[in-house]
Amino acid sequence: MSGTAPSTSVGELVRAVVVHDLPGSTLQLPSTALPPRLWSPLVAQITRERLTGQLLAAANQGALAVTSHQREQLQTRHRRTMSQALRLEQTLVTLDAAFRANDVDVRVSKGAAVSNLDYDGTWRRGFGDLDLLVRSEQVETAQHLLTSLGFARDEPAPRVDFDKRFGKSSTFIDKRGAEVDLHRTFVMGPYGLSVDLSQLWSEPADSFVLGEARIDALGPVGRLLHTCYVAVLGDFPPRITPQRDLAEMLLYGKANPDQVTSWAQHWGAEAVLATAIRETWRGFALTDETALTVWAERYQLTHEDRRLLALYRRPDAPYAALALSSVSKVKGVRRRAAFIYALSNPGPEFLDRRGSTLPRYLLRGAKRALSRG
Amino acid sequence: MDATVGHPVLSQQQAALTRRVGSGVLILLPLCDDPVLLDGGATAIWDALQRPKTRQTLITELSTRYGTPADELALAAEPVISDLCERGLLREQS
Repeated sequence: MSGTAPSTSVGELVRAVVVHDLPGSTLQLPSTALPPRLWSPLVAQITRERLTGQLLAAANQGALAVTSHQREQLQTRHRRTMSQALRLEQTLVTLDAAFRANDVDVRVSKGAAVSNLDYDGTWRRGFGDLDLLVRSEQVETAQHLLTSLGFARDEPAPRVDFDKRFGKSSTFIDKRGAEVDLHRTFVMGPYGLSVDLSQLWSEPADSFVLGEARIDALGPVGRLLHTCYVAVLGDFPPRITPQRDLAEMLLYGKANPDQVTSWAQHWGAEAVLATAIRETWRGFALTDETALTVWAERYQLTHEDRRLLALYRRPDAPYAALALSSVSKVKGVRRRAAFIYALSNPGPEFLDRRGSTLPRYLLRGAKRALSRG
Repeated sequence: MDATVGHPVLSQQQAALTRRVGSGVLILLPLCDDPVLLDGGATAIWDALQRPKTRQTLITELSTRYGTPADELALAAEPVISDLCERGLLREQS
């Protein structure tokens, strides 16, 4: 590797650590052990990103100098991160058996799937929850199953039937703190409603083995696109982990690039794909090209792309504004009417959890939707 | 599977979930809340049993790998194997 001076800010250090073993990165790590003012926030952020394996690998391979105390601290953090991943996998095995027994189709996505299928070693990538995709018509059955297994729903839906018709996901937590996101689609709002779910389910599952169970995950195209949605439309500012996942998939994955761009075009999500790739490549200072990085650099964002992306890309992207902006993406007059009714008449439980009243909820959503044009 | 007929065969607990952590391995058994951390010789034994085998074959294999006489290695490994079996991490079946 050559090029840039060694990283000195925590943000740069995090990025340099997580890509130290990727080909073509010009980010450099310092050759001497970091002082506490840099080490402590670095470890804290890497732990939050659940990429302690990457930091430990950088230390073990000599890419980053560490003191014996730092190594010990890192090993402890890494054991905790991996222990959490194992407990979640134990939960996944239990849920998978329950879903199979009740003929509910499930595809694992994000952390658990990416860790087991995309990285060269599960120790490289931890995760803090389980993301399970179920078919729209099986959302309710899956929710009942989770409840019967001791999980409680985090937040109610705006209305009955909303989850299976328009929802992105519902979150469930059990007594041990295991969190399960039951997805119908990737994200809320207009981009979530544009995902062609039948196409997504048409891709053959990838699978991995956990103990004696074989777990089905989204296929490589679905997994890559889901990662892009998370990288661009999830947290803002974007998290490092989905970008690191994407870099791994683009450099070593088996998703067919033509199929990826074709699906993205069909879903109206080319801007999501292009933005995820560009931000990942620039953020990690990667120089190696792939078919998809070349495509992403050439893609021109339209005015509509920018408007839609701006809805999501702010720290407080609000539920109501995103939902109202989705109306035009709901197909069919009846469905659209049902969608608008559900959003404009949310149930009392839904409002209670948001500490809001109906007029305040509507006003806030309308204001934010209008302020974004 | 080990070809030695009639001798008990050692194997990893198949339902165990595992993660590499540096030179060690974390193992979580079904119905347990906390993973067990194996390191040192216990990790070597665990790794060598990715395929089931008899104690004799296991000792011979480890002895060759680490260049240690088989009787010395058996002396050190037997208590570890017994401990792993007692903890349910390994199974020994005829």
